[in-house]
Amino acid sequence: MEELIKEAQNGDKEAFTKIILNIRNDLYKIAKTRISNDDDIEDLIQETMIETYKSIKKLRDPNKLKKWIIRILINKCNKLYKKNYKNNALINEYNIENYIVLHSNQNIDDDLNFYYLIKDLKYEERIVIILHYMEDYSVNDISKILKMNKNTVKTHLFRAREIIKTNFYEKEEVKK
Amino acid sequence: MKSLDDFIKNIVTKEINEPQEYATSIKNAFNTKTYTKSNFKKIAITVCSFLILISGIVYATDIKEFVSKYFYNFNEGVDTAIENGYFDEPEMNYTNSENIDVTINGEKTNPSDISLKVKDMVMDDYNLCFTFTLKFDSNININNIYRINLNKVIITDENKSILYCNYKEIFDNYCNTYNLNYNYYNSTGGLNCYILEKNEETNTIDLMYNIISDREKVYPNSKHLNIQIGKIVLEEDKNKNELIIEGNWNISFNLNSKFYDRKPINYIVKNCNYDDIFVTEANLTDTGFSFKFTLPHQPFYSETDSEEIKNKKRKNYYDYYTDENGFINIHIIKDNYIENELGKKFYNPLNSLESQYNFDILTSNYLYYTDAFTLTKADQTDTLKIYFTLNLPDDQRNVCIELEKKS
Repeated sequence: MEELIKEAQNGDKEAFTKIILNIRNDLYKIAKTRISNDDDIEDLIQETMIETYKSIKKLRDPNKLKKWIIRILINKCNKLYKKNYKNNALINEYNIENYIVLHSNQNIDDDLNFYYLIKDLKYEERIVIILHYMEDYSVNDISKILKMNKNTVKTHLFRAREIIKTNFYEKEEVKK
Repeated sequence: MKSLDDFIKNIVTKEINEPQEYATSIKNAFNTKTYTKSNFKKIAITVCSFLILISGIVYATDIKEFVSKYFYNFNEGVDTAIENGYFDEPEMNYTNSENIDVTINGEKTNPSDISLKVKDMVMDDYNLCFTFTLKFDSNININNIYRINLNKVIITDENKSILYCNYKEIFDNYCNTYNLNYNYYNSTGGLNCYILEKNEETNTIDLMYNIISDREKVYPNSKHLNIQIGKIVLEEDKNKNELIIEGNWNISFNLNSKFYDRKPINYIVKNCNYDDIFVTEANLTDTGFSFKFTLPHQPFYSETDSEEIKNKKRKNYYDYYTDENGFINIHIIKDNYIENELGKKFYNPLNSLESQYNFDILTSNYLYYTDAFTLTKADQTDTLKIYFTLNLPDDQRNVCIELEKKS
């Protein structure tokens, strides 16, 4: 990955595209916690790519690239969400909660899936859970990415874990 | 049995189905989108305009570049200060080691193999930030360098004040030489140090070196700084192969008047929803807002209590502050922020020295609390409001303090 980053920093767009392709599923999941419409997500990822690529030369620590991309993507998702919300544009059709319920039910007989797990969580709880467990980010990191007070991050993390524990974890353990 | 953490991790790390065209849209990103004007450019243009307007001076260096590199600083207050022109680029040449031999991992080398200078800096009451440029001879491959540590550093001023020192022996020598009676631990502060940029053509590395006061100490209004560095450690990769370079680099330069003429804006209390909170400091600087208060406090236990009772009370105290993971996390102040008249909120900077308290909750009669926010002079208004929740085991309440500028 570091080699690809170096190449991207030297102006190789293909190398940068490869980086994004490698992490695309994670980015998709992160976007999906906020935005339901796949076309919107594709646009947001493209915009995030271009914005990140433009400034990649200024990246001081290659290990922070993914964190940086995630931070930009989250900001873009939030902006679009707020814009749609303000304009009341198709808010019901595009409502992520409806989308999640729909998708989570599709595979209900299978192993617990991503959508099913996050369906009872608020947005802040979802994003904090994803960043903490998928990306292994610390409370400090998450606080920085979301521009959220550290204690607030902890609270969301705590609540999300409690909900998952009660709604899924304990039930799964009983089944076994 | 899988732990809850493993259970969650297992699910969220599993790949999920992506839309059919998703990968294709990523591959085509550069063909379908046009570049838009970035925030960075907007900020840089604002900064340039601001500097030209107020001073009529156009700085020779590319300000855009300077601003951009601070984007992910640990302290947003410092970023804001820089975006508003509060920085300086002292004129100087590269400094070679002097008086003693330079060695790399114990082997003598040419003194000109490693030289350094201060490229730019910011200084105010609580922050001392430098960008050092380190120039290496071509036999040192900078591509492999992952991290740089500067050891045996002492920073002093024209009045023999020690602004920073990270090596006690050097500190003691300096104090002995000038017959000073300083406390070493008051000179250590916090530090964020990381590589900003490498330039292969010049074989140089720009190193960010941010020193943060512990808020009990205010940096003096120095006019001249001396920086002495005795050891530079280059970590070659993540496995920590090290090149230890020892020498004696002395950098000496005058400071810009904007730093030594700096004055904080003082605020005083206009209203507070509790009478027992005494604000002892509310100062706004170019890089942040410093806030201190004291609060009378009933000791958690009395010295006359039996050991058994003391232990029981200690246990209750730790139970109160134990989080869901079993870690003790003492946050005697929660949900703290400052808000200006425009409704803009500012939180603690993300450095290690935020929100300190100085008291023994078990036995003290007073709580002394020190806090810092990322509000800077750039966002000053005549009145400000500080909000926080007091989170003592025996005292929980929401506090709002309205401040006004001291006339």
